[in-house]
Amino acid sequence: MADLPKFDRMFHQAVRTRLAALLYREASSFSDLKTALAITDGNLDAHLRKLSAAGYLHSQMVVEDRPRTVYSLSPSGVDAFEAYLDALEDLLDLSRPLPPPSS
Amino acid sequence: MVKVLHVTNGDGAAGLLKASDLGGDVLPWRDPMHHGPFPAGPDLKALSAIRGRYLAGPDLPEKDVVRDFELRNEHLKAASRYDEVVLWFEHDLLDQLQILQILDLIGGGFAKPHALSMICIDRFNGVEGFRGLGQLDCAQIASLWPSRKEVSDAQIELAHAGWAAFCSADPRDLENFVRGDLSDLPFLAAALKRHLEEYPSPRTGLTRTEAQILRLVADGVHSPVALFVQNMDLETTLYMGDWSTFSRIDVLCSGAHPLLTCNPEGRFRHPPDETLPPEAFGAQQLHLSEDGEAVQAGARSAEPLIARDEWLGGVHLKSGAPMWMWDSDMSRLVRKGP
Repeated sequence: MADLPKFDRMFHQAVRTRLAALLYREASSFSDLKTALAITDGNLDAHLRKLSAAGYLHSQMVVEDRPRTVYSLSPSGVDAFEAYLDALEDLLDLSRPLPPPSS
Repeated sequence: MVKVLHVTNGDGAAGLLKASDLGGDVLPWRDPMHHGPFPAGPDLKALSAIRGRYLAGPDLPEKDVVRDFELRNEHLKAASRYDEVVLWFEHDLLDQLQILQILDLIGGGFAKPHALSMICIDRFNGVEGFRGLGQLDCAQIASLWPSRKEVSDAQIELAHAGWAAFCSADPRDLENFVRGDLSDLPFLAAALKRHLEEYPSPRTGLTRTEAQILRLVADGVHSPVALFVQNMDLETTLYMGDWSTFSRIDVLCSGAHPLLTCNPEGRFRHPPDETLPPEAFGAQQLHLSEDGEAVQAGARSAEPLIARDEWLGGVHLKSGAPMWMWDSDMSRLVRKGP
């Protein structure tokens, strides 16, 4: 039996997988993340806090028309999310049917 | 590979560290601690709510400010996930207060880093008029890395005492603390003395910043940006940013007896007001009012003219109540009351 990949529980949660994917792609504001994920303020707050408590979140204050904070994955968050994506790929590989035995 | 968390005073140094080849995660502490309330007693979560309420404004919703404080706090609490936490700061008041708070939190067990070191400088070779880490480029800031020093128990103990004094409702605690031996944090004494100068003077009724701004206006500096720039030159160790300076100008333009008048609208408007076009902001002109001229000439005190309701650390300064003032001639606090 093949070894099953292990998943970082931080990312192995439906909302946080999508949240991390968005943060991995580009820095985003709270309101942009909320709209993209279609979740409540409190829900997004809780997930951002979990990422921050793992050291996976960076923030930056930007001033355009008004000051706002944008969030992204920290370098350790990027490393951890890429490891998570690798684990997903390993799972996909394992999920493919084995080729029929050659006779 | 060693996992490092870099803690900085704000986004300027944080951006440089992120772009440098040092690697690691970066946490800007991001709080203009030189103004607003820091009462003794509340834990960090409650204090973050107090700071959020104070710092919020029409263009900065309270819930956003509080969220960022709480995310910041969670990240610091995660210090034990790193092999080393490095504090990157400079000599000015803002940074020294941040050092006090962070070391107090670590000393109290809020965060438990495996290794803790600090880089704190007041100069950088080749940079004239050094004011802060944000002036450096990525290579320059990275070159400081080998100079980091392990934070000692004595520094943590000193920070604990300094933080308690800063948050005390009795400013004499801070005054006494400053008179002690602060050599373990070599820039702390000068920074805290500058903090005490933000108490109004018993002679003029003005804080040092207010007196500097009035003097500049009297000398012919009328635009808000020029006032900010030239006020910087009057500071030995700059700690006040543009928005904080504009807020002080706003105080001088406000109340029943404003010391400054503002043309063309009468009231002074400043960032982060998102409805204010930059050209309209820059076009504003500040002048001494009649009362401002009298104060500037030393003919009267500003004390009854400025309606104060502000906090310096744990001390609430409120007009109509007995008020602590800083006598710069005697270098001591005095209490005056109605």
